[in-house]
Amino acid sequence: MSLIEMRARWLKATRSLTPEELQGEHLVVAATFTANPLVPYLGVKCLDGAGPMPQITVAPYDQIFQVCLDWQAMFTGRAPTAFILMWRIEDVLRSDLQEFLRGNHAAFERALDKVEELRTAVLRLRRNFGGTIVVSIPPFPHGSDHDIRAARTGVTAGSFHRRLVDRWISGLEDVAGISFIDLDSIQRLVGIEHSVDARKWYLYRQPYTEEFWHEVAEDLSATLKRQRTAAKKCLVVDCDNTLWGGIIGEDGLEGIALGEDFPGSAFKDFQHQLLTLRSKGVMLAICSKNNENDVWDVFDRHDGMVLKREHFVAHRINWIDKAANIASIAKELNIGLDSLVFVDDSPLEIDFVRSSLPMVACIQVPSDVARLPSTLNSFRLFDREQISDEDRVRSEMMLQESGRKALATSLTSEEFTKALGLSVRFFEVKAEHVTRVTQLINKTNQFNLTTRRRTAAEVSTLCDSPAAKVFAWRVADRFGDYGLVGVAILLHKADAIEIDTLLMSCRVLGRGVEEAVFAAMADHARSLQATTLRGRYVATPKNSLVADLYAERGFRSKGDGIWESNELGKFVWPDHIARVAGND
Amino acid sequence: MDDRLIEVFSSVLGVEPETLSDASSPANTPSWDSMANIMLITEIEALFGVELSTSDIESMKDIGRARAVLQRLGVSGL
Repeated sequence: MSLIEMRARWLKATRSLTPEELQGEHLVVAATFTANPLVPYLGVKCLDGAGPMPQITVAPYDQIFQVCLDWQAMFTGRAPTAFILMWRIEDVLRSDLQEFLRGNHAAFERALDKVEELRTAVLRLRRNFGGTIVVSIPPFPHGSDHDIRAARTGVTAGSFHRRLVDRWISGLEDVAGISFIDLDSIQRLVGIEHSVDARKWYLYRQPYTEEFWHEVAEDLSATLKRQRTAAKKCLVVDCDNTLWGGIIGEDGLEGIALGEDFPGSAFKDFQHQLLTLRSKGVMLAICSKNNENDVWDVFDRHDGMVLKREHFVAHRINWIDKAANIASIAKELNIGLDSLVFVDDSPLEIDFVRSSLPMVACIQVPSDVARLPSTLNSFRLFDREQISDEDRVRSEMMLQESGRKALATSLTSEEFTKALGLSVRFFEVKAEHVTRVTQLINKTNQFNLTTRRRTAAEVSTLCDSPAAKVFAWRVADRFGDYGLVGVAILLHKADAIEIDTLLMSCRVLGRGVEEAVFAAMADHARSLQATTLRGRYVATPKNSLVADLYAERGFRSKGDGIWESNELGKFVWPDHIARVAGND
Repeated sequence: MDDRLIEVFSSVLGVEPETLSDASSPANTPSWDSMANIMLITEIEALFGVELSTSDIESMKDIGRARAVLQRLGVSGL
């Protein structure tokens, strides 16, 4: 869709609806400049994600501080679900930048003070508002005071911008529930000459071109989407003409392209990309129609290979169809098909997988392999808001899993559970766990009783609420640490404890961890003199696994998916699991 | 015949084309505020493939004068 079509579509969509019919998100954009041209692009991008029609409000011009300090007074109608705060050096710090450029270095310190004021205001909004907050990384300042082409601009204006942005980011990056919209990256992507429109700036205080606004909307919609959906978990790659150029079975070790010269260099860069993704928690797997020995020969003997065998958690190198292979990889890794991305050079394979497994995201290697590295990035399938410790070690954990499987095949299931040497630490969630807890809340589908999704900010609010307790648990065994794998949100309602949320990663299923969790929840109820545990099962297409979870533990049905038990004494910690005390 | 210029104003301002004429201006068209003006400039430039100067923009005080500016810039069929 062209920019003009997007604008027309949004105009048409909003004209036909009354404000009461806008049931989707309510996004508020507050900026130190006129930001209205963003609205149609952001609106259409949000519409593309299906769901109800979003409402987008632009706050009055240059009222960022007021929005942060007292948003309730400014938005008395429908409550906002997200604030997007955009500021620029040109607006907030123009006089400081001018003085700095004219040789007064003390002006930089004054600018830092103002940035700190703005940070304090944003933190205040974070405390007083439960929804999503996105703040800008200000773009390299562009204006009449200096020229990007002039000698030493990188040292003068550049240094001012760099140091200021560093301070701004470091003061907010560790705050849970604050995301960035990087206007500087967008300005670099589009180019300054194509980003700014001097006429609109002078006439309307609106500095940017439509092209720039479109990219801002693209980035913002991805950021907003990330708040509620999980990133992909596993990248399945073909080998021939994907990890290297050519066909190993025909061209041989000397004949394939992989190394310092094009096209081998593009494939090598692609391998580096995969390795970086792996460090961010993406699991790598191979699915290739080949003789297995030929492929491993490349891994073991080709000096252009960046990736090693041990970087892959699963592989299917055979002549079976790829859809079957991919499905079996998903099963082995115990993840949903919608968590997989498949990369292959063959349009036939891509079409076949796409039609057999529509949930798998498919990326075809572009016919010009120079575009291969940027193609993978452009899909943004693996963008994560924050990377948790569990993400970083996910691939190691999958290798531990192989050790467990080897043990399981040699023992009966009861012997196996005992031999595992399980331990569980059940604890109250603190600020440092919010990233991981939010991830689990948003990505767990199967062992999830109510599937209530929440943002990091909402989880933080619950942690601080006196009427709620957010618990999580870590599980370990003799093969290693499974990490933080489960979350329970318990509400105190008179003499009952209501299980608002109960979810667990499927990796630890069937080993008695559920019993330990019920015992810990019963302990919590007793500590508050509550006599009843009340749970709820909300059916989704994916959570039939736990449809009978409450019934199996003697809960009585109260209708409407609600289950109750007042025999708290029945829930005892299993003997074969060590209970690790204390906080995390 | 179709009046492409009236169509642009009609769609941006959210009013029926029949209610607009060359005499329509911010003074007699309630939805024609400064935000609508920003949108009008964007749509006119995109549709007619022109780039307006600040003095062009400032002189477009009603639809008739917008038409005159576009004709001066060589847009035909208006």
